[in-house]
Amino acid sequence: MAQGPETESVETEAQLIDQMLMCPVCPAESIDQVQVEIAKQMKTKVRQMLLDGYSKKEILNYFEERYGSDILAAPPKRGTMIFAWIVPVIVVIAMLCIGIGVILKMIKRHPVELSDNKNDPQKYIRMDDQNKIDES
Amino acid sequence: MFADIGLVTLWISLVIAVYSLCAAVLGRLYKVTELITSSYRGIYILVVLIFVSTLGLVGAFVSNDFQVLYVAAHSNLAMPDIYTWVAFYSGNEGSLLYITMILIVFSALSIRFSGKVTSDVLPIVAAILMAVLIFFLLVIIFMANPFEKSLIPMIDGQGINPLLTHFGMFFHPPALMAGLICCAIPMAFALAHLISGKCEDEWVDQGRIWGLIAWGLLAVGLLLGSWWAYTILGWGGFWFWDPVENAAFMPWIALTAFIHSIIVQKRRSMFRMWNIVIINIAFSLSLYGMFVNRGGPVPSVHSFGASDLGWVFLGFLAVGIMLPFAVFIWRFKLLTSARSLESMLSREAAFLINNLLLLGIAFVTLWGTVYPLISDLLWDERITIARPYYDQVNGPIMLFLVVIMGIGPLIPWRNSNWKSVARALKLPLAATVISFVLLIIGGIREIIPLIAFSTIVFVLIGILREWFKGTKVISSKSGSMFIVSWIRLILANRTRYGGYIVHISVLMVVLGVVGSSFYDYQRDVILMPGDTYDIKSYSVKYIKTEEKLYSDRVEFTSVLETYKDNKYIGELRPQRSFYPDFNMASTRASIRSTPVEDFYAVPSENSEDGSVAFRFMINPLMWWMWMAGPFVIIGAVISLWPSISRNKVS
Repeated sequence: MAQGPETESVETEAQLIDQMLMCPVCPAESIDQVQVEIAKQMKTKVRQMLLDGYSKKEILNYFEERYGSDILAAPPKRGTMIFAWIVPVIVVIAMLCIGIGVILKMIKRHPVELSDNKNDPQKYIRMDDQNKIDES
Repeated sequence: MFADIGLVTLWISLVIAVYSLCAAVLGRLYKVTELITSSYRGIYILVVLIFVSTLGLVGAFVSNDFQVLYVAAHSNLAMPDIYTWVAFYSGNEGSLLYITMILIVFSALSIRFSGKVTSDVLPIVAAILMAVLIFFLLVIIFMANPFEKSLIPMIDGQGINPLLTHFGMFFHPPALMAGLICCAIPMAFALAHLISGKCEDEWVDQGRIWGLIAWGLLAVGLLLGSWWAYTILGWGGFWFWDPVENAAFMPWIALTAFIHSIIVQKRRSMFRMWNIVIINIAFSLSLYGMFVNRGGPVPSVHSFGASDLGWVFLGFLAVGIMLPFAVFIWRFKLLTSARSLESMLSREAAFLINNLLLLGIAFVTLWGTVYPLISDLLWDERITIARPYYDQVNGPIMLFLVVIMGIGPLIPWRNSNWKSVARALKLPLAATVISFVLLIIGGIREIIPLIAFSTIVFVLIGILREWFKGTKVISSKSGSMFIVSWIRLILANRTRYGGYIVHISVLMVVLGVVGSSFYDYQRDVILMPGDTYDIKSYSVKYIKTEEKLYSDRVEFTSVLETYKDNKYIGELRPQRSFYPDFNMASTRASIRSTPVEDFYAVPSENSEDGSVAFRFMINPLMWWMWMAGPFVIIGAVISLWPSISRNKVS
């Protein structure tokens, strides 16, 4: 039961789309994951639309129009739904900036002469002693 | 009879817990040592009492006492005795009793083996832990009583949820629940020291030990849950950012941050304020994790179902967040570090970046979990946030974190300069570039796997290089064999090298995640007996399906002759069972696993005419993910070892 190269790539593409569509009746699972009737129908529709030449975007739009935005496994990046994406990015970048800013402020207050740790053959032996300090 | 013993001991436990709390507080306030000692004795007695209560519930299961509502709801005559342990904690009431048992055991251990914690602080630790215990006892006795009986005698029960009849279920929920409640221990030590005005480094040792224990338990629980999902949920995935998964993931992330930043405090007496904040975040998230599936508003495969309990837990969560925060504000001025950060190019700074990235991941996870609710409330807009979202947002942060995991250990403490850092980076970077090129030559073209695999090489070479150099030094000094010297090296600095072993296990997980996410191959197909199906280099011949009838289910086992490169490699026997009482099917995948790839077969439907719908998957590198489990445990144990042996009785 071999598959031709055309159906191969369609199937691969279809699975990617399956993973982006939620099952309307199951709790928090994609149609790729479940076996209920409506999920199977949706999967068939996805493959049919791919064979008819629709793009991934068009197929996702098709389902979104009929079932609402919550049929998509991730919110589209438009309108108020963009907050889902933007807020965490801003927060994480802000955290890193604030963190680095605090570090730099601390350093400015206590400037330390940076000595060049030249090639230190004793480094690992000294590590033993350092470890003794650690363990105490 | 068992249930009666169970309930009576709970009541007695409540009384003694209240006593221990009062004795600890009064003994501390009026400096009466005898009261404090009796408080601790009460705690030790509670271990026995609550354990007896637990045995009461187990006994009720084993004796098939279906008059006990909880037993009837979670077992039946057909259930093999071995699942009694699982049934005990599989429901809301029983799991609360389990959590309470773990809490008292950990509390008693932490009081008994409290290291250098002074006698003016330890009673406060005891009081805090007793307060938490009393909360759980009250909830169990008055709102979620596993020993409640029905008025009518029952002949048989409903049975255990079919999804739970899996080896992983013996350890996944207990490990997770133990890890979550364990967060109360380091938090209690932190809080008690703050209340006592001891705002330097006195709590660091106990904080680190119990933080590491909680972390290890959650890590094992999360990995086991993933393994369970992989083999039993029937779709070849192992993590899908389910709200309840996230609720256990977030405290684990916070604890990962904590076990790193606490090292800085231990070494250099820095990050004092930061560590209080982090442990409070971890504790708050663990409370959220414990309560989200008991009356939570989010739909999930895990939900116990909504109830009034949700409000009670929300209240406790609020108190659990606000009280430590209030104490933190109260003692804010005293929480200053002994030293300051000296350079951006220092181990301390690297740890801080590590912490920020981890908190970032926790925030993204939290945002993804709650944003659908926010969106619905604010704009009446219903959206879903599932795996594709987290892949795009958390993915890059996690990848960056793995890079830091490789760089951080190579940077010295306090300060350094680019020259010496470059020297340390030379070999790992060279290996990385070589592997990058080799990967491209080997056919890998996708950017994320390229970066991820190269980063794995980078981190690994960094660790191996340090191990090699250190071993060589010890070996030349002492003249012993290489392997002996290596072991001595590990034991000489267990914190660091235990950590490296855990880092290696992280690399193994990354391998599994990237391999299976980017290079998996999946086909759903319906086969009649006698059909052959080719999938890449594999070939399966569907022989037949054996049907076995049990009193609570029908079990279909399909026999597949499997060939790879036209050579017979064995039989796969994926299974599907249907439970009419639960109107639920459960599947068991049959997997041929090698370090290179998993060949995975699971049936999704058994038809009347003997045909079966199968899902076949080829999942590269999954094997590495499960192998990481033992390494996590070994690494955590090594990291904990000296502290345990050095702890004196208080």
